[in-house]
Amino acid sequence: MSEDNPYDLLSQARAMPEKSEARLLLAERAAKLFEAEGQLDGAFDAHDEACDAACWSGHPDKMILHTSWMLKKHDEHPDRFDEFILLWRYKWCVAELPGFPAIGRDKIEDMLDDCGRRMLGFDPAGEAIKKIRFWVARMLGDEPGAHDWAQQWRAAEQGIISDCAACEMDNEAEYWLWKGELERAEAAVGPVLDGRRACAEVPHRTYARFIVPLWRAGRTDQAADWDRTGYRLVHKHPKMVGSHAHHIVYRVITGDLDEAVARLERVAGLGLSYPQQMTRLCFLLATRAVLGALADAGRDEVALALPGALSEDGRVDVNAALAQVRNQIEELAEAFDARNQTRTIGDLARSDDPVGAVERFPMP
Amino acid sequence: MSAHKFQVHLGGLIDLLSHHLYSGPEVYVRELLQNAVDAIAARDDAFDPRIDIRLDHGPDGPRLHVRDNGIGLTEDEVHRFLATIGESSKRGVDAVRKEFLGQFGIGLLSGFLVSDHIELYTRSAKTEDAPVIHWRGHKDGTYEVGHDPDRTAADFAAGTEVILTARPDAHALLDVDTVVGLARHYGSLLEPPIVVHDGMAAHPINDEGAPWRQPYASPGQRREALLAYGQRVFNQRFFDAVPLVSSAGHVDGVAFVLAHSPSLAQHRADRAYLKGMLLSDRVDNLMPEWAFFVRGVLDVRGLRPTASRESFADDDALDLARDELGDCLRRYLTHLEQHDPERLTRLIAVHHLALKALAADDDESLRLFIDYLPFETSLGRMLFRDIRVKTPHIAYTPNLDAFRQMAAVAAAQGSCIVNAAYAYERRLIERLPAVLDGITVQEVDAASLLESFGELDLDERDLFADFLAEARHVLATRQCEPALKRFAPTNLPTLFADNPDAAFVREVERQQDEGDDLWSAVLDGVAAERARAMPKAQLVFNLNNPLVERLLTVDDPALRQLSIQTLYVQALLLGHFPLRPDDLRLLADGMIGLIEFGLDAHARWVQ
Ligand SMILES: Nc1ncnc2c1ncn2[C@@H]1O[C@H](COP(=O)(O)OP(=O)(O)O)[C@@H](O)[C@H]1O
Ligand SMILES: [Mg+2]
Repeated sequence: MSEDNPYDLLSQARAMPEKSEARLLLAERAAKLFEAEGQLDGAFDAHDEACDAACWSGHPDKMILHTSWMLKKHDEHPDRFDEFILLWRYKWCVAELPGFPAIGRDKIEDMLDDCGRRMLGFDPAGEAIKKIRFWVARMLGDEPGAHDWAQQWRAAEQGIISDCAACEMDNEAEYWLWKGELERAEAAVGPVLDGRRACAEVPHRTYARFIVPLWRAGRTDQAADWDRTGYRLVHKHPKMVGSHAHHIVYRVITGDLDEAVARLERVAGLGLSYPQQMTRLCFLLATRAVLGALADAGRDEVALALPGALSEDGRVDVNAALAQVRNQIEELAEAFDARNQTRTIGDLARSDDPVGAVERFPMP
Repeated sequence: MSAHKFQVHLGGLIDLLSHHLYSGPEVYVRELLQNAVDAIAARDDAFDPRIDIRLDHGPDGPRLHVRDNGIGLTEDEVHRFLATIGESSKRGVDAVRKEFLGQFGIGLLSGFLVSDHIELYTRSAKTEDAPVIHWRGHKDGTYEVGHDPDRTAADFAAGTEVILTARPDAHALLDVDTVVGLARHYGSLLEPPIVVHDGMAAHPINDEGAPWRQPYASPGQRREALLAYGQRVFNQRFFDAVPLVSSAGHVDGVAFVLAHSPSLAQHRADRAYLKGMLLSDRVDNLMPEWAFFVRGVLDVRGLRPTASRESFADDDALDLARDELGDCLRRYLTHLEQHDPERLTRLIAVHHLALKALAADDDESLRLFIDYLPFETSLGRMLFRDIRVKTPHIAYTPNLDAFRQMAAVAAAQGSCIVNAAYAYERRLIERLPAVLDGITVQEVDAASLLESFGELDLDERDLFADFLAEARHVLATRQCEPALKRFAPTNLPTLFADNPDAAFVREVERQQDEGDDLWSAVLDGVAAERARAMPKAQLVFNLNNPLVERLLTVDDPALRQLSIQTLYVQALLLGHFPLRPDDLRLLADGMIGLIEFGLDAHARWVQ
C-alpha cells in the first residue's frame, strides 16, 4: 500500500467508517493525485467519495466544492458519468446554499433554475425542486414565497429523484410542524416511528423536531420518551447539528441543565464552527439558551469545554461566554438580514426566547 | 351504494409473499418447525415433547410430514386459525408468557412455496376425547375440513401432522439432504428433540445442543470445540472464541475473534437465534459498534426482533444487553492482558483499529490497552509504550496533509509527531491526559513546527530582505507567504506549510480558473468566511540547504526570480498539491529560463 497511489488511497477511504473525517481526507487526497495524473474517471470517483464523506462528516462547504467539480466534468463529458447520482448531490447542495450569507439571492435563484432544469428528465413536475424552493424561501426569510412554493410542491407529482421514502415522510412532518399542526405531523411519520421506514438520518432527526412541540402541547411524557429515543439515535452523529440543538433546548425547558450542558459539550466543537452558517446560527441559539439558563440559575462559572475563546482550561465564565455568543448571533443575524433583505431570520435570532427560536428555525 | 368485501386472490398473494416476505422457498422448513415448537410450548400438561419429520413418496410425488405432539387444534380452531390469513392463536397475554415464535399468522402459507396443497391432521390436547380433524388447503384459496374416519384417537395422539407434497419444481427442496440441512440450519438449538426419518434412516437434528452450553474437560478443549464450531458456522478460521452472556435480554453465545482485520465500512453480521430458532445471519445491532473484530453466534430469548429479522428493536433492553456483551469482550481482553500478553499482542497486531474504537470511548480500556496500540508517527510506526518512553508530551496532528508535510522535517529533528488523521486516533489522544498521569498532548500544525525552527539574526534579516521581497512578489497571487529559516534535513531546500483554510480557498480558485460564472460566484460565497481571515500557506526556504545558501548570494535578480518560482512549484509537487494552470506556467517559464541561463553561461565559458 502506498500513500502516493490514488487507487490505494481511494480504497483506504472506502474502508473507513462512513461518517469519519479520515474518509474525507483520504478521498480528497486520492482526487488530487488522480487529477495530477490526468485520470478523469478515477478523479470523478474520488470526488464523489469525498463529496459523500463531506456530507456525512459535517463539511457542507466541501460537499459543494466537490459537487461543482463533478458537474463541470459532467458537462464537459456528457455521457461519461452517472447523472442521476450527481443530480442527487446537486439537489443537496442547492438546499445548503442559503445557509451561506455571502451568496446573494440572485445567485441562489440562478442555481435553483439550473438544478431544476437539469432534473426535469427525472422530475417532470418539478416536485423535488419545488420542495427545495420551499425550504430556500424559508431560509431567505420569505414567508409568502414559502407558502406559495409549499402549495406548488404539494400539488406536483413525485418524480424519481425525490428523496427516500423515510425522508419524504420526515419532510412531510416538518411541513406540518411549520404549519403548527402537530397531529397531522405525527400522522405523517407513523411508518417512520414504528420502524417500517428508515434511512441514515430518519427517524433520527424526526424525533428531534417533535420534542419541543410535544412538550408545548402538554404531552410531556411523550416528549420525554421521544427525547430519549431520538437522542439515542443522534448522539453519535455530531454532524446532525440541528437535531442536537433541539435535544439541547428541550433539556433547557424541562430544567435539566446537567444533561443540557453535557449534550452541548458533546457537539459544540462542530456545532459552533459549522461551516454552513444558518445551521451554526441555530446551534448558537441553543448554546445561548443553555448559557442563559445557567446565568439565570446564578451560576457564574461551569466546568464545560467549549471551543475557541468560549472556555479556558475546560471552564466557562458564563456571563462572558454569553456575551460572546450573543455577539456571534448578532453578526450572523445581520449578515443574513442584509442578504435576505428581510428581517425574518434576524428577528427570530434576536428574540428573547432562544428555545422558541430554535423550535421555529428553518432547519428542514 | 352497497357494501362488498374485498376478495383476495390467494395465488397472487402467495407469489408476493414468496418474493418479498420470505428470503426464499427454503424458509418453509423454518415456519413448520416454528409452528411445531409453538404448539409444544402451548401445552401445559406433562409430556415428552418431540418433533418427527418423515419423508416418503405419495401418489403425487415426494412428501414431507412434520409431526409434533403439541397442543393441536379443535375443529373450531381449525376454522378460525387456518382459514383466515393473518389469524393467529398466538396473540394475547398467554402468548407473552409462552414465548411463541410466530404471531403474524402467515407462516403456514410458506408451505405453498413448495407445495400446491397443505394437508394437516390434528387432534387437540385440550380434551381427552377430541376427534382427529383433517384439513386440506389449496393454493387457489379453497379448503376442506372433515373428520378422518381412518385415523382414530387411539392411533393419533394429541398434536399435529402437517403434510406437504413437492411440486415438480420443488423436488430438490424435499430431498433428504436438503431437509436435514435446513432443519439443522434453522433448528439446531431448539429444545424439543427433532429427528428426520428417511425410510429406516434417522437423522437427529438437535441432539448436540449449543456447544457453548456444554461442559468440557478443560478450557483448552472448550476453546478447540468452540473454534471448530465457529469454522463450521462461518466457514472461516478464527483467532479465538469468547463466551458471551447477558442477563439483560437473556442472551448467550460465543464471539469469534476474526483472524484478519475487517473493513470498517462493512456492516456487522452476527448470527442470532431467537429462542433457539435461527433468526438471521446478518443481525447488525446486537453487539457493540466497536466490537467489529468479532463475529457472534447468539441465542436471544428476551429481545424483540424487527420485521426485517436483521435487527432487534432499539430499546433500553437492547442497550443493556449490548453493554453486557461488550463487558464480556472487555473482560476477555483484560484477562489476556494479565495472563497472556503475548496473545494480546498478536490480537492487537490484527485488530488495533477495533481496540482503538473501544478505547476512544472507554477510559478503562484506554488505560489498559493504550501501551499496546500502534500509531503512525514521524519516526515510523510505533507502539504507544515506545512513544511515551521518548516523551510524555505527545505532539499530534489530526490533519493528514499536515502530517505528510511535517513528517520528514520532524523526523530530521528527531521529534515524534503522531498522525491522528485516522478514524479514532484523535479522540484517543485527546483523552490521554485525563486518563494517564503525566501525559500531556498538544495539537501541532505546520506553522507550530516552523516556530521551532532557527530564526534569522538581525544581520541576516537585513541581508535577505530583498530576497524575501522578491519571493513575496512571485507568490503574491497564491495565498502563500515566503519565509527563511534554518532547519533539518539540510537536503530539503523548501518546505511548503499549508493552512486548511488557505487550502480550501486555493481549491476554490483552482476551480474558478476553469471558468463557469455561475459556480464561480457561488463558490466565492461558500469560501467567503474562510477567505476573510486571509489565511496563508508558507513557503519556507531552508538556510541550511546549500542550494538556498548559494541562491541568496546570487545578485542577478532575474535568475533569483526564476529559481524562486521553480522551487515553489517543486515544493507543491513534492507535497502532492494540485497545480493550477498558472502554476504550470510558472514552472514552464522557470525551467526554460533556467535552461537559457545555463546555456548562456556555457557559451560564455566556451568563449
Ligand atoms: N403445528 C401446529 N399445531 C397447532 N396449531 C398450529 C400448528 N401450525 C399452525 N397452527 C395454527 O395455525 C395458526 C397459523 O399458523 P401460522 O400461519 O404459522 O401463523 P403464526 O404461527 O404466526 O400464528 C397458528 O396460530 C396456530 O393456531
Ligand atoms: Mg407460524
